[in-house]
Amino acid sequence: MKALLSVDNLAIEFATDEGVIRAVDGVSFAIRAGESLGLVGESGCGKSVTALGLTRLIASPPGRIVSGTVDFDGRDLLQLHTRDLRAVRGNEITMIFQEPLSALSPLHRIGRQLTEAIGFHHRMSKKAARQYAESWLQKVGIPDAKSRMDAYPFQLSGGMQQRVMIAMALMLSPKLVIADEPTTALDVTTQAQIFAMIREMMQNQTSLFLITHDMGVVWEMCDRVIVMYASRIVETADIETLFAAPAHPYTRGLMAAIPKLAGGRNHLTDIPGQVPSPLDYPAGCRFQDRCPDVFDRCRTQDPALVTCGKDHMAACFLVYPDKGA
Amino acid sequence: MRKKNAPNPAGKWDPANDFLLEVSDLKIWFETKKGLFSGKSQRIRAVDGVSFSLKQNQTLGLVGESGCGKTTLGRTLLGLETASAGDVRFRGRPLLDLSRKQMDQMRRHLQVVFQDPLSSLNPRMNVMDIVTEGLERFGMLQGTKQEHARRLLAEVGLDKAMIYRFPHEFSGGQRQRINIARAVSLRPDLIICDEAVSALDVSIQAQVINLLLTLQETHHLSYLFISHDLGVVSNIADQVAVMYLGRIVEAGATAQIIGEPCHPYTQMLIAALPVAGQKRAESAQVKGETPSPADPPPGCHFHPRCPKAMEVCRHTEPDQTRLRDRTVCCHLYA
Repeated sequence: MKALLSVDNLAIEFATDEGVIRAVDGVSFAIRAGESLGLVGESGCGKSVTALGLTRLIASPPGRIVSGTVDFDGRDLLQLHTRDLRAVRGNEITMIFQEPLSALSPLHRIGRQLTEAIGFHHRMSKKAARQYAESWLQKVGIPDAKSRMDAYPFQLSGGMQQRVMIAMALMLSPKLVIADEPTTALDVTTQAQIFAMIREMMQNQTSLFLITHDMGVVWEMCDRVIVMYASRIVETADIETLFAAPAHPYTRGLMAAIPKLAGGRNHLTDIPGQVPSPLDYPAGCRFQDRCPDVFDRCRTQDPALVTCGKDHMAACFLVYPDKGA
Repeated sequence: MRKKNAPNPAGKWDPANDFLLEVSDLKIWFETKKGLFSGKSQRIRAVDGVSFSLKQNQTLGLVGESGCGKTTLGRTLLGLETASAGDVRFRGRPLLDLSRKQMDQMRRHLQVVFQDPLSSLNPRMNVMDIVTEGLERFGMLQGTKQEHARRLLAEVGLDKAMIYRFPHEFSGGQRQRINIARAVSLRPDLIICDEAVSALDVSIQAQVINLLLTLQETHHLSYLFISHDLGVVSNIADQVAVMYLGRIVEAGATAQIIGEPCHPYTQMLIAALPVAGQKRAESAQVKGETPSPADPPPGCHFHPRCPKAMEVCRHTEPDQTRLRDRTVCCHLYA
């Protein structure tokens, strides 16, 4: 399958009072046309920064894209003129954020915000744009769409606000939707409905890049997964492989730590220790201090991502052919 | 005054046989103004006739989605909200009628861990002062402050050398450990955990859950574990109560409720949970949104979303029914 978007060696840094943090450190991956790719990791691993970096939504300063290319349909988004990039954002690539209330303008009615987005990218009469927007509110399951067009975001529930965001993200038939924790703030029953809707709306026409901390969500929504730890990719695989045979000790630990539906008190398998500070990453593998399988080489050398199966890569010496000898 | 081994204020409460906490028909209503300039007020029934009980060394998981009243319930037990009706007995004593002074004394037995570990720690106090504040207040300090603080830190898995550090110097998981250390410092009978692990990453969340379980084993604690996360609750609670719009719709032993949910809402909640590795659930089973607690539907609050709703559900509130191993509030089982 042809790659719709390919990221090569992306690195993003932030200047802080304590020093420079490399939030994304040499990340490379590709999103294929029509596929749903998940990016999982715990807080601070760089997953959201990666997502924002793709369309240069990093505030600079303090942020800075240090290196890399983001090839989207033959164009490098990192080099594109701002004007051309704007034509891509919100049109060919759209985003759904975790908090709809902070992503929508509190001062403008829903209808105005939707029609504005249409008018920005397409020549359409105001009336036609309004009708089009309204039809999308209906499609995303907002009851009484006509009167909701005149509502302000705060008048809607969290689930409804997120539906508006989704309408906005999907109505212009984008090639790629980047969704950063789109349901984390929602109840599970609402989440299930939002996911069912996103799946139905996309119908393999659109690629999805879903950023989440929740393995269950990835399982529900994605074809392929990238696992990030401490600013780097540690594993990537198709969804079945990742869950059946995770190769990186971090991925294995993460899977084991998820509380499964159980019947009463049950000690969980945790990952000891904590994520190292980005100001002070250790030499060698960044997971070494928490890894149950650590050995000498991990403390001195950086494991690179290597292929360890069909469409399966991991950054761990244990999957190296020479087992790190 | 120093009160080592303070006498049991209840006198006749027997921890081995009696319930530690008994909540009967608790109602917590709020009056709010309808609009900014409207004189009309409306009543929000945040908790609307809830009953449950909890024994020593047991954990009750209170699950439900946002707005179901679970947090309000916890806050009321702590004396942070006022109950409108009902009865709560803790260690055999009525909790709701206590004077402020009596409640302060009772807090030694009743502690809390909140969701946000940072906002529940005073940023100007170091860890030693935080975890020993209650001990000093109740005259329960053993040895020097430093010694006692070090013991507590060790007990919750923190480096003993950290006693002079301040909350901002810790990670989220470590801060929650400090909160837990403070909560267990007074050797309470009950700790109310309100979304205590919800803000933590999975790997850290598992550590904190394990810590809570270990502390329970050592100190025979009881937890009222309030959470929206059924997965977490099912790993920590002996009993589960599922709340929907101010009422408990189903309650019983965790394994039974999770394994074979009876109430349609519990079934929906479990079906909606994305479980890695299992066949993807048909989300069609989930419909509608939780109505506002200010304007709940008549009859069974769940009927507009219920796939099995009958005529009777639309106008008659279902009673609690004892069903084999559990209680259910649903006309299907009446």
